[in-house]
Amino acid sequence: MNLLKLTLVNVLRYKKRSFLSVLAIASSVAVFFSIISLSKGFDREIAGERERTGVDFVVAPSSCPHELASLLFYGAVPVSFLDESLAVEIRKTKGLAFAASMIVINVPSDKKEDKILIYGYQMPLLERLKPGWRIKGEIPVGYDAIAANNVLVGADFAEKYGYKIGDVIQLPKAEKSLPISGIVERTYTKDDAFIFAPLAVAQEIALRVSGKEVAGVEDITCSPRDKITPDPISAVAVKVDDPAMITEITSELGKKIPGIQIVTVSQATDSISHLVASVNALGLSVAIIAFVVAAAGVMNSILLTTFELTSELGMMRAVGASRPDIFSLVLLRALMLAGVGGVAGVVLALSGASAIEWIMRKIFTFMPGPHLIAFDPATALLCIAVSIALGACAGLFPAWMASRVNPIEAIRNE
Amino acid sequence: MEVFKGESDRGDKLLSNGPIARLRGVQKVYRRGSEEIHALKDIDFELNEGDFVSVIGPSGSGKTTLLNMIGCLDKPSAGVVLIDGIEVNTMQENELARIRREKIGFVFQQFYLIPGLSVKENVSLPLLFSRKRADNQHLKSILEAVGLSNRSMHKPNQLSGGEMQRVAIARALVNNPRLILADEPTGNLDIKNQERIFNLLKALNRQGLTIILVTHDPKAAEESGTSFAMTDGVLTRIQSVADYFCGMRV
Repeated sequence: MNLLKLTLVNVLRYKKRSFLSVLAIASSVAVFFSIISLSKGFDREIAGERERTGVDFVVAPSSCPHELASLLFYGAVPVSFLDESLAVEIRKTKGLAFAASMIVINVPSDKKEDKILIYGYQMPLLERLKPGWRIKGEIPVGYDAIAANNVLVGADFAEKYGYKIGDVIQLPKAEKSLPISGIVERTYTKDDAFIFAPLAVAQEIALRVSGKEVAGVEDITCSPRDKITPDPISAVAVKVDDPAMITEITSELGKKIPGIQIVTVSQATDSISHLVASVNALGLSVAIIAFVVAAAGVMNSILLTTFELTSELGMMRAVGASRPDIFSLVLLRALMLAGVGGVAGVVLALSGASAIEWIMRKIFTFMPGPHLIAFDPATALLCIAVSIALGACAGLFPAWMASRVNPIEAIRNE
Repeated sequence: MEVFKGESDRGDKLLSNGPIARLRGVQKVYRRGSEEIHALKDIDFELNEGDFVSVIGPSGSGKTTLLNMIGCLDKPSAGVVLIDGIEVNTMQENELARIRREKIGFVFQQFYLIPGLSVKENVSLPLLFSRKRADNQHLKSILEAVGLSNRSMHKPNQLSGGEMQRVAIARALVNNPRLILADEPTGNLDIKNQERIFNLLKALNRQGLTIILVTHDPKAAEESGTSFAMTDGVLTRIQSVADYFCGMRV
């Protein structure tokens, strides 16, 4: 027999009460663990995303930074286009490894009301733009591939519509048929849901489906929003030779070409990170409130139990328990509830990780990586430690009350 | 079966010099608003090794207060309490807890067994507070002495009232106390179990254990070695319990 067993017996005597206390703690710990894990997972995945993105900055029409970040990582369709001649201007800048034109368009498909997103890339540069991609089939490079309108598709897109290599995607509104020459293996990013066409193919589709007037030559660097440039592009993705020169090069480009906005990959990820950090801060506030409520619940439960067990505590004092013994006994009960609640909270969060991620991905247009909430021993230990500290705070007052029980009063015959 | 070892943990031998408990001029005064209640009035009392003393008296006469005083649960308003020659009325709470652990065993009218613990675990509870390991042989001999060796793994809800009180007595014995304070230990039991518990206490006394029994049972008081009557806080030795109860009826 030891103090731990005696505490466990007392916890189990009031099963429902103990269960509710553990549940309250577990819920708050689950929220806390999820927020911390999401934050860590997001930082980890966004760093990976930076690695996987083979560009240093993007030049696009003036827009809000988050829209450009989405363009880079998610596939949002910009409201206005640039002309491809802009890319020629950019390529004249010294110190560039490459400047790849790209276009993003939203096209109605033949699959009822579904709209599909098409990325137009300069396919010879694809391996440099997307260094992490693994492709089954062939990249549509060369005149024949462009003439045949060959495209790549993401793994999710292929799976959703049951496409295989060689199948043809019909775009009735654009009057285009796009044979699939390759499938990009799953990247666990939004890329998995897109079509990737050679730039010229995507530009032709953009002109056919835009319904906008084609801008005059004088409008090409920054077209009005009701016009489309002759060779439309959404952005130019740029890689520099020396990363230390990024600031200097972007500054030079900004001065040279009016009406554009330059967003570095760091700025883009920071923009998304700030948004997620705001949500995390809100989530942490909720977790703190949940912790306070849980602590109050534990304190109430232990106080109630202490009052109910006053006679037994009196007996223990009579048979030799000192005040510190009684204090420890009651405090240990709070710590046990909090400890079990902490572990249960971590398990709960991990069990519900898929659901939490699903909700987060619904809320945010861009969420990187496949597994944001992963088991991290340090985070789990932190959460359990916070939970136990909470239990200690909640148990101090009841433990002090219990240690002050007058044994004579407690064991007075009724 | 010899249960009572007659030796405290600190090695104090049984039949040491002087009484186990000695009260000199002990008074206990409670205040209820402006009213003063004299629960104990100038008590002089000595309890020697191997005594079996009963204290009788009406409810509220001060019997339990006397027991609490000897059991180091309460402190006198005036006078001196010595347990095993040590003055305890000036001791701090933790020192008193140590005296209770090492020298005194309590048996209450309510059994105060912990429901989730087995008989054996309930008996070994005081060892937890003395930071001592339960010696299985010792526990076995105690349970044999109280007639519960075959019930050691049972939970309290599987026991009768008499059995529960025997567990409580075993619990009082586990630290090898020099003195057992029994406060109406048969108050919640039927006649058969009352007799059994009393016989158990007598058997323990025969082995050398000192016992104070607070009781309303004239037969139990009669059979104890020495009887005292408590009336309005005054403790008086009585020669005949029968005469005392006759006097009360008059």
